[in-house]
Amino acid sequence: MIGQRFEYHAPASVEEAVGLLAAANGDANVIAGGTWVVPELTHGIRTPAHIIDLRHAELSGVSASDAGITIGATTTYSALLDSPLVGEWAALLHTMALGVTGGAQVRNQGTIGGSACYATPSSDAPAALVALDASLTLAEAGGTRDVRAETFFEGAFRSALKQGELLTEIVVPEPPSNVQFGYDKLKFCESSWPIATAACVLGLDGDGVVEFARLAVGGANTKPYVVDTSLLVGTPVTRDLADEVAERAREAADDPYTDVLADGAYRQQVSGVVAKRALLDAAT
Amino acid sequence: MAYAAVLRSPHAHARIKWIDTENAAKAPGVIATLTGEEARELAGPIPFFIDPAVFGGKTTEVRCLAVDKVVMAGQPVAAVVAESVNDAEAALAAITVDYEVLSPVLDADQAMSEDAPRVYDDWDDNVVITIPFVEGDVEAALDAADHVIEDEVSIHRLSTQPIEPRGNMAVWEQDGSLTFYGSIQNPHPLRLHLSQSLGIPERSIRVIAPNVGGGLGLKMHGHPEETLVCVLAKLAGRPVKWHEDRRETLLIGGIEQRHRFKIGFMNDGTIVALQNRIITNIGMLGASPGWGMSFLSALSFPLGYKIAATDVQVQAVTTNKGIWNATRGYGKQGTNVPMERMVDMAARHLGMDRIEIRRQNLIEAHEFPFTTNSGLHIDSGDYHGALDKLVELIDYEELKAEQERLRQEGRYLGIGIAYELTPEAADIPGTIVGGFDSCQVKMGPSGNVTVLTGVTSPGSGNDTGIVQIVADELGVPIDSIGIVQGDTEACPYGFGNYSGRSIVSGGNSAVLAARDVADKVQAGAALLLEAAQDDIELANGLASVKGAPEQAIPIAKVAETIYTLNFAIPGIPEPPLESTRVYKPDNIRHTPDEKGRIQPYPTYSFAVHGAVVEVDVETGRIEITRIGIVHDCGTMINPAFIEGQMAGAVVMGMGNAWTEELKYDEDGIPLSTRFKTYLMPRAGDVPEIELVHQVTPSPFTLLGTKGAGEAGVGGGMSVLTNAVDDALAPLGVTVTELPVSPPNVLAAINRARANGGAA
Amino acid sequence: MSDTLPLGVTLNGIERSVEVDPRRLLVEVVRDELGQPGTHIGCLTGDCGACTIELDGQIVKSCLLLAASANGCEITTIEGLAENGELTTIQQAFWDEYGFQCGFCLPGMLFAAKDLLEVNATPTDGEIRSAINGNLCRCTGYDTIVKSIAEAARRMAAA
Ligand SMILES: Cc1cc2nc3c(=O)[nH]c(=O)nc-3n(C[C@H](O)[C@H](O)[C@H](O)COP(=O)(O)OP(=O)(O)OC[C@H]3O[C@@H](n4cnc5c(N)ncnc54)[C@H](O)[C@@H]3O)c2cc1C
Ligand code: FES
Ligand code: FES
Repeated sequence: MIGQRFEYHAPASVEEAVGLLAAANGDANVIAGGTWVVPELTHGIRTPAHIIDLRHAELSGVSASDAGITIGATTTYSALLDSPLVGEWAALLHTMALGVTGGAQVRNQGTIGGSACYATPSSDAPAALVALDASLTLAEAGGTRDVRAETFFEGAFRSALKQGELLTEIVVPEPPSNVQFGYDKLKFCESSWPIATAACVLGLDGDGVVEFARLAVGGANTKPYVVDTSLLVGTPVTRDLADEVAERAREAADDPYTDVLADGAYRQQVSGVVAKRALLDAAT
Repeated sequence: MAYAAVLRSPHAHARIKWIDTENAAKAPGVIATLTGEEARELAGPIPFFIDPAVFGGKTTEVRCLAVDKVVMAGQPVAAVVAESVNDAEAALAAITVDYEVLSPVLDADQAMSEDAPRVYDDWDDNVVITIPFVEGDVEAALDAADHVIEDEVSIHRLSTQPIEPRGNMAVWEQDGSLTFYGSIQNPHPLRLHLSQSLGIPERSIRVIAPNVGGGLGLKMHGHPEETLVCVLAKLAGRPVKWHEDRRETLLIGGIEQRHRFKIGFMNDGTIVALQNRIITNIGMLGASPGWGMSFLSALSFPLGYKIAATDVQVQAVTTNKGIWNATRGYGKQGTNVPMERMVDMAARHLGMDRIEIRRQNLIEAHEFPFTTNSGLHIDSGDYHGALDKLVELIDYEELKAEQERLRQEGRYLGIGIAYELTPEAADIPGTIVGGFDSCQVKMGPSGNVTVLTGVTSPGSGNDTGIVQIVADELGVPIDSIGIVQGDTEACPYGFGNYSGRSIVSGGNSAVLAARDVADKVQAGAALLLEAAQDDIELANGLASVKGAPEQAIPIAKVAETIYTLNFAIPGIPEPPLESTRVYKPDNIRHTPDEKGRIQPYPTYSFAVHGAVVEVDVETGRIEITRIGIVHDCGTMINPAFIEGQMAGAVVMGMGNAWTEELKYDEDGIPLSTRFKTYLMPRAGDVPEIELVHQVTPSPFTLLGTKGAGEAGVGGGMSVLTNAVDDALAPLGVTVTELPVSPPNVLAAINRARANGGAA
Repeated sequence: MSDTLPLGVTLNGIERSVEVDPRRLLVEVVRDELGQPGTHIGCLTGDCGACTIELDGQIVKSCLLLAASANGCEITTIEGLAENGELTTIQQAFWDEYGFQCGFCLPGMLFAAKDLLEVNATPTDGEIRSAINGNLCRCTGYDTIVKSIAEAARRMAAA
């Protein structure tokens, strides 16, 4: 049960929220879905003086823009699943959201922004955002900045988000029409965190020849990374090439993450497996 | 009402230099604080559920709050009572404890070395007890065997984790009496133990166990928080409630053990010798009955296998890991898993079919009752019949063909086979583990019936089962019967719930009590219908004359007559229509036989299991695709409940063997702190369970029932492990280490590949 | 820092307002301040699902929410399912098919089942299993729960 007393705020806008954040001078916690924060408050792992609840801050929703599709930071996994825009333009996010465990309850509560900001390696969204080359908009009292997903994630539980900043939206560039997505997630059983995830964005011509490929692996290293897939361009995806990509994914897992479920050696070994499977999934 | 929160040690092994609760006492909402030193003045030690000293082992004093020294991370060191749980929680942060951190000993083998730190300062070593079970000349039998396999099997630390955590509440009355409410399994024994630790008469305590959200052994008492909450309520001068947090529940484990064995067998598959040295890692020695599972893991060898010479020894070793409590299966999974591994290893060594080798070695139907090497007297069974049914149920031959086909495609299907024996409904002499239980049946003037039992129902459905038994005996509708359990003030003395005993002990005593009441009803009806008592039948709410159904009278009318016209009708039976009876099963023997062995278990349920898994050899991940079981627990009172118990137990067993593990870091700090790090099975992890019943009644119990509820845990663990082993046989893997979690499986594959594989 | 906040919710169709300590979780307030103990606490980490309730028409785990966050919301708890003491079709099916043993997981299972059957009237066993993957049961091994939900679907289709 929560012991530490705090002041509860429910700002009605981003401006109000960043104002509160600035005023709290670092001693505040933002709550989006709360699926991470609230248990950590309950167990005294976080003891902030201020809680800023984004529930009413109008940060949820999916819309189309020139840049692609814009996803509000507090958009839940079920809202992603319900969004025709996501289904059409960012089917990868649909597949990713479908695989989030914890039941419909957690998909109704957990937000994509919360997953990004928490930056745990045991999460689905980060690798998918990196594969999609999404950019994240961070706002603070003084203004906003955009950060590419690939640089946003800095390590286990570390991101580019600075004290006083709020993630407001995630922009996914509109993909070319010939794109195919692949996703693979390794978890031990239904109760398990994601152990390793791989997301693949593949552009294929009419004959199945690869025009471009982007493959990201999450959970293996302390942060998601992009696998070198240059060898695929100009040829169709074959099993041998997929094995070659798997090997590259494994080599790139040079800073493997260890937690109670799986150590670095295990994660490194399976990084290639999920990479290969996501690639083959995208190619078919 | 006030609320308690417990400050727990952040160290696995440390001396407490001082504790300062002054700031906590001043914190908002705080009513009282308590340290170990203070608690020692207010309460005595917590009595052991089963004291190792009774069996010649070492013992220690267990207190509700640590005094001087902590021996596990999470051990209670201080407590706070406040106006709200939130204030109580907040105040914990204001308590300062100065610890002198000692080096912990976490591994049981290490704990046995000369220079290992001592968990208890005044002990010579860390061994709680050593128990040997020897029968025949094992060395000679191993020498004479055609083949000997020497290997190890280890099982990790696991836990039952009912979905409802524990919870206790204590209410002191003006007159010094105490009412204790708790999510607990054994109200009457707890009353005795509370009276001993609190130093008040047993009669001044009432213990109430309301509906319990799953017990599974974990809610057998001896936990510090039982005495603690009572002391806190006394201090606070008002009722105090304590709700366990899941992180606290996850401090409680069990089972962790290693078997180092030699098994000798002949060319035809006959197993002739078993030598086994077992070491259990019981963590901190607590007052709850957990440590005693070590005993069972050894005693249950060699299950229902006829092995002429056996030499099994268990050593229970204390370490600075978390405390044990009973885990459903009570240590018998610690026999089942290694025994079933050994049988499979022998089969693989000989190239023999795994069903065949079991047929070759299991007791045959005509050999029952059968005395095992450790003195267990197995009541009845038909193991071969069950194996035949299993072969048919899972279509074993077709499965083997499919396995072959898939292997050609590079897919790794595994077929697991396991036999499981579950001695249940124990009575351990000199302890409050009782093999009998009591029941009171009362019929009122309306014909309504109240059943009061000494057994409790932790959601296992025994209450409904007992009602059904009474309804059958009295011939009254189920909805005219009420049942009261778990209240020491209302119910006759009983031992509560453990060891799959509720229907055996509770159900049979209900039969006896109901028969007494039925006798009186029949006598009354005989008088009113002018018939012979022997001719009166009770059914459908009517007392009627055999062969003349038109001569009938409602049972309610008979009851009313007995209560209201007792002076008017001479010869009518005397009220009340009540009886309290105890049922003692026949098959328990506490006088040691010529070899000094006792027979503490009246019934021996068994099952044979088949499971199919597919192993992803690139990740070590397992998919469980089929579970087939043939189960025999004698006469069944309510098959639906037994199926439910079995399904729950098997799935728990599979989780236990697969992804559930209580892990610690090198300092002994628990790492499995929530259900995302202690991974229990969910619906999507398991297929539908195919269950077939076989009924071989026990000749020693009234209705032929045997215990049900524990069977399935050991079987589920064994069959899953064997299935994974079978899947990976072509890669040269032999599974010797549990859990079969993906990292462990992948590591085993990597090792086998590095060794050049096999097969 | 004020000690309490006003909380107004519609609970099982009835408007309620209480003062709550901001530290209180929604599940605690539902059980204690609002007096509906049918919602259970099994873990407080979002893992077990015993605390599942319906919040503005969506199922949520109420241990993952501060009570203050639910201000102005509509809440349905297990106590609000049966109308006039008559069990819902899903509840009745759980009763008939032995869909629970200790019953601790039951409230969460019922909401997960309801949520599934509202969007999928004819679920396969696989779909049922996946719909209750957010809820732990330690007693049943899930078999009878799956059967109960399948039976509820059949009965709802027949009605
Ligand atoms: C049972 C269960 C199963 C789960 N299964 C999965 C799974 O399969 N895959 C998976 O990826 N995750 C899973 N999760 C983890 C997690 O719930 C989700 O990833 C979720 O998306 C986190 O979002 P949230 O909004 O709840 O985060 P919150 O808890 O609200 O916030 C998380 C962190 O981000 C910060 N934050 C949130 N939003 C912002 C913002 N807009 N600006 C700045 N900081 C912000 C918070 O301060 C906090 O530090 C599971 C959780 C549970 C309880
Ligand atoms: S108590 Fe909320 S999910 Fe377990
Ligand atoms: S019935 Fe006990 S947890 Fe599900």
